[in-house]
Amino acid sequence: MSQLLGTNGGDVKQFKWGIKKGVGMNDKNLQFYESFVYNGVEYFLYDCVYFFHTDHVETSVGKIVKIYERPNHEKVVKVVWFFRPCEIRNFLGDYEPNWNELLLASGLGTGVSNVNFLASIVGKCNVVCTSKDKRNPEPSKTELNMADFFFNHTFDVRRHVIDDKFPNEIDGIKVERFFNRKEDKKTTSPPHVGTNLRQKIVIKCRTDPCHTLQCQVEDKAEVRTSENVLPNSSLPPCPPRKRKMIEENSTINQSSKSPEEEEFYDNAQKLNPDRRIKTCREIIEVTERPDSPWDERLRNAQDSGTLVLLSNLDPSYTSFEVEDLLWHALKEKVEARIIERSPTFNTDYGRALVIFKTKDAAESALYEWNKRSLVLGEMRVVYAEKGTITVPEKQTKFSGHLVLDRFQKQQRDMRNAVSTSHCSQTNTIEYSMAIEWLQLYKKSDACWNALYQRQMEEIQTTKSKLKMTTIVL
Amino acid sequence: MGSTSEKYAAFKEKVRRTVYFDNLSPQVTESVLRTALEQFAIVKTVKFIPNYIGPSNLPQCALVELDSVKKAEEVILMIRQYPFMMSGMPRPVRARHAEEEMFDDRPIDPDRKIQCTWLDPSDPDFEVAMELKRLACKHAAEISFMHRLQLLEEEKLAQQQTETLKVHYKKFKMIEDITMDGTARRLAREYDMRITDE
Repeated sequence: MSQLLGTNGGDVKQFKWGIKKGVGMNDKNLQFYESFVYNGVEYFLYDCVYFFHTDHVETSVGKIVKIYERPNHEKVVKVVWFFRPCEIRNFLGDYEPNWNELLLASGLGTGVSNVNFLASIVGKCNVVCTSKDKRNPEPSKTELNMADFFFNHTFDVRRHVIDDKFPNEIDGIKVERFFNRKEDKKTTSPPHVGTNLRQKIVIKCRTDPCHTLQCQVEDKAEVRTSENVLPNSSLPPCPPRKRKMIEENSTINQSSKSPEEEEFYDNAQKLNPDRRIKTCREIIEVTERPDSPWDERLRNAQDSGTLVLLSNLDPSYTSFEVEDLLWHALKEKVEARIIERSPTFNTDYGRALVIFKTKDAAESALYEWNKRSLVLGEMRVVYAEKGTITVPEKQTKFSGHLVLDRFQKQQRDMRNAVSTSHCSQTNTIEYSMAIEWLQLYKKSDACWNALYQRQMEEIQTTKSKLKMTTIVL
Repeated sequence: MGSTSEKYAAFKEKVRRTVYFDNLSPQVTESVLRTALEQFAIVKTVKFIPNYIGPSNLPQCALVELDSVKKAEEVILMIRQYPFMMSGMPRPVRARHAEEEMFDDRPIDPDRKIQCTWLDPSDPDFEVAMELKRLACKHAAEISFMHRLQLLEEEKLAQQQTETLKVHYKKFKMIEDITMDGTARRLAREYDMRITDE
């Protein structure tokens, strides 16, 4: 049972199939497996893993529920996803997740699971279920300490509801598979199998090559269990949520990107073979703590070239709507923040800062915007440019606030009186000067208004040249 | 759905209770705003609007949520009537009603639908779209020029007021000096005038 098969995939260097499970019930061409060795790590069914995708800063976490090879030797895994709280933040409502909390996808609909190429697995991830559900074996203290993430709620992808009750099945997989593994199961399984504790992975890295070499045994027994059954369609429709990943794998990863990716792994291994997984973990902590301050992310985005400023949006859009808009228009998952309306800016122009996941994504988006035009309702043509943020200046002086020598010389209580906020008395010099300022404010307002009016007229004149009056509603 | 529209309604109510302040000195902090306004109303939250893309020396702006709509209106009216100083003088702060678009974290309007489309270069309206895009770009440039102009004007007024103040100061100093050293009294005697206030 513990023996590994030496069936070598051929094209990927550090890859070995493990225990065979059988062929598909409906499609005899699909060969199912229970485990495989990839990059020196042995993965089993129902292990939690990190997925890497080049245009996303974050990795995704999912549970492997099926492992199989297609007739064309494509090695794929079916994964049920865990959501990071930030991915569903629009639906969190009053729910306040922990920074290392995940939510298990559930319900019917797209986004629960999908099929991914095996090569996009980064490493194992230790996810512990802390649900009080009777079916869930309670995790031990050590298990909790070892865990990278925990979960005790599900997120229904159709109803957009967070629930602490677990259904009996998720995407056709018994819910027990998502809970913690039972104690007895752990003991019966061979020593190097089953547990996904951190140390064991490291040890496995060292021992695996020997194992795989020793085991050149052909397993002829084809076990077929109900779990082998896979829907006939080999690639389920891509759910919107993880769609990027699939697209990328099917196009880029297969051809151009794949050497690069392998190189990345090679280098990582060369540098520090035993700590490869740990390195991944560090990256995750740094880049995507959900509470990392926005200003910091903004600066990082500017430095890494992933920041884009959009203008001429509808000023009533919210940050979420801008994110949705970019998803629908560019199929990019971005982070957006609208710039607040200011009386000293044309209030008809809505603006937003957008952080793309990668520099490439940001640049291809800018290219797209230059080549074509994204038009919103009322014929708003979105204008995009590389975002540069103002460096906050530490100002000590504020023009218009005068400092008098007289007050500096006088007693402290007098100075204190000056710095308190107050309404001006009419019989002071201060008052008459304040009136001068109010006049200036009025004058500025008038100038701004005149500017807006002219700008709006210009926009109207240009719009009147349109041939089709209703492009969008 | 019910909860979203409720949330939206609650947000709208919050907007009406909120006052937008601008022309704030960079020295104004949340506690300054709180102490300044707590003479008139209970301050619930204070939020400074970050200046991400404007000129770096623009005055600060802040949203201050008060406990009631009535109080918000009173505060706005008062600051309009009497110049209100915060952390310095004589440049007063300005207050106005907050608007929904001034909140970056506002909830989505549940009734709204958004549509968009991509115009290809082959589209008959593509040229006009490009023109609109250029116009948006030009307008943004105009606005940033306007900002510069406004800052210059403000600088000018401040300069001018500094001068005026210096002159006033000199004048008061002179009066003070001659009263102190007895010159005023001597002169009064000379011209047979009464200068005592009592």
